Amino acid sequence: MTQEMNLKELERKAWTSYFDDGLLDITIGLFILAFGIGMTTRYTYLTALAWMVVFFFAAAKKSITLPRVGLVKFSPEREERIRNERTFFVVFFTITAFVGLGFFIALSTGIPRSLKTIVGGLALVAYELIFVIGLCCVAYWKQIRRFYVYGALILVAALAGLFLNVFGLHQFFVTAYQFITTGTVMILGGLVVLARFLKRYPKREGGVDVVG
Amino acid sequence: MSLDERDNLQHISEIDKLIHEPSRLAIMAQLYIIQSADFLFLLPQTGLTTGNLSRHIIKLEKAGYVKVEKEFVGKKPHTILQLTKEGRAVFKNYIENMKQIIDELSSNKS
Repeated sequence: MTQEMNLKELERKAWTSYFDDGLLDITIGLFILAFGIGMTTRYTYLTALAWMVVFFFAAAKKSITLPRVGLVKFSPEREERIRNERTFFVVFFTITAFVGLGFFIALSTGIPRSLKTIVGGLALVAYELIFVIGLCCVAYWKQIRRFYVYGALILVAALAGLFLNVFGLHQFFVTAYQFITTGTVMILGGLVVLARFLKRYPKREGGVDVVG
Repeated sequence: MSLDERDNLQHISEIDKLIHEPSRLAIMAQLYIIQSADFLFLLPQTGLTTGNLSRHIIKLEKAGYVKVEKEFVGKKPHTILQLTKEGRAVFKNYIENMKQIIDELSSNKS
């Protein structure tokens, strides 16, 4: 049993070495930050462009992680888990996009102002919850525990936001500042992890392929 | 020497000495938990130097435990490593043997 657990731990370490580069923290942090900044501008629909950070992630992974960690094909069980993870996130992002679209349509129509306030408030809470659930899912699928902390941070920021509401700040801007704060913390956390990763895995220029 | 003690010693003599060496054990364990990996991946995971890793992989390849595939990515050579069926079976047998020996030694002690 212990032997099985140790091999599992070894496999988990090999897996996390691929994601312990801080790039996921920075990418999701940038996404949340862009979302928050978009909310503070007049053109709130620009928040929909925040997903473009995936291009940053793909490019950074290729130029930073792969030359340092190398290539690996994980066990069939892990590959199955990766497929399940992809399916889950496709479904998750589709639902998120439809929720956003639903709120956008609801708020764009000529509904009474009082109802608009309620729908707007619901949209903000829904997106806070979506970010918390999304971060916890990243923590679960990628087996990186610090993402649970980021999820908790959004919850703490949401609770702190309740106090800020008391001081007369509009809920919309309070939520935007929450996202800006969380995004910034994630980016900073990611940069620290990235610095540690670069130190642990220096880039090896040629000469590493010397078998045979 | 009792018959039981002789059996215990027989288990120890059945240990595959090629895998028992710590560096090769680390390589085998890493390759056992995945399907395949390149040379670069194994370097930090095993903590070996380039020369050492290369030397041990050649030994494991000669024994038929590791399959080494060479390919070119652009102009750079790229080595993909994976355990052979025999290597996988031998490593599984090795950990079962070791577990049995440790269990027997622990039970004799208590």
